[in-house]
Amino acid sequence: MHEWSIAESIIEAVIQSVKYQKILEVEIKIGELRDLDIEILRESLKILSSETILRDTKFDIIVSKAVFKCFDCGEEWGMREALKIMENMLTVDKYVLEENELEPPIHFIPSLVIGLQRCPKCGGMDINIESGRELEISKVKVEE
Amino acid sequence: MIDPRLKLIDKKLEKVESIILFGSGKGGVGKSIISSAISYILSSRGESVAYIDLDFYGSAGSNLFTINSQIRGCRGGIELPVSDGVKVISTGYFLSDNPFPLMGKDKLDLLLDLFSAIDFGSLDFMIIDLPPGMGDEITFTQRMFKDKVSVALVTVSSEMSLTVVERLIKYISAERINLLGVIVNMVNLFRNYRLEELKDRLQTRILGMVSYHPEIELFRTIKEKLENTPSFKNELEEVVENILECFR
Repeated sequence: MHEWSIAESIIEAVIQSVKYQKILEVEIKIGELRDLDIEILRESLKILSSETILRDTKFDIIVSKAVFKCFDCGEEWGMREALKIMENMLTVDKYVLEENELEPPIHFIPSLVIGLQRCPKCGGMDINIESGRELEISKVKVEE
Repeated sequence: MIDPRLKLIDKKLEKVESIILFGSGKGGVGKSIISSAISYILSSRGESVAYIDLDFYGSAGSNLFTINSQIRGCRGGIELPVSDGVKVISTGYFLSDNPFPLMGKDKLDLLLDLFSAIDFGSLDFMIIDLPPGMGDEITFTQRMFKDKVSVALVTVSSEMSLTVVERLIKYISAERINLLGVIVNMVNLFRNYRLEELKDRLQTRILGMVSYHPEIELFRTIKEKLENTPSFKNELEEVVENILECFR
């Protein structure tokens, strides 16, 4: 339910970013690595904005794919593979208990993933996150 | 582009009264032991305290404060687990002994993720254990939490360590950050300065002179180290008293 506090901060940040204009549309970029439930985020934006000046605003959520790249051998892999690698490195006590479910810690702190990956081809640890870490309000469209 | 994490961080630190950054010029001067000991003693005196381990490469927090239950998540993010009366967080709780190689951009992202994902609640003191030197962690924390931040520096009395700490003091005063003072650690192992000499040289308050007590190595957690080594605890109690004096 971390999605609720993210939705709350998006709404507050958007409201503060404009002065008197009516906000028609807000574009939000979410990286796959954030491990967020997009439906819950969408629903929380809808509910939380209903009592604000954003009640009629359209929220567009764009999800970017996570891509990892090994600097040693050039191998690239995506989120599904990354989750498998992470599961092999994490013991149960390293998960976070949320509403009777165990969530991987990257659900809350995505950047931890760097310490929970090995290149699936060469085993290297010099890994770059090429994309998929975004959490940003990328566009705010206001009435002219 | 707006990063909503900045807004989240503002909200999550709303009820944090004071943030003390524990820094050092050089590594290996005992900063984690001193900052965790101060966290424990402050908490024993009834203050509400969180110990935040930002020394990602040399993380020691998960050894000094052990937790025996699953970390829990809530609507506001991660609930800080409590160990020996202190709210604690360290990447070591999630990564165990896995190395954590971070490039500049990754580190900044981690700092934003960490502070925006934790439910700190109400705190009298947030004690931040920084890595040695003037890296992203010190600039990030002082930029983000400017009005609430004070700094305490830890050094040994070797020429090399004192020279680097003098440089750090220059940065802190140029940035107009509130410097509480310097804790000189392991005084029995290095040159035996008099307190006044150090005060003159560093041009700041000396919060305490702490000896090296080899017996603390026999114990794992900071509570065990302090409770089984009364002479060590007494020296740290005095440091805590001097720190609290700065806030009165």
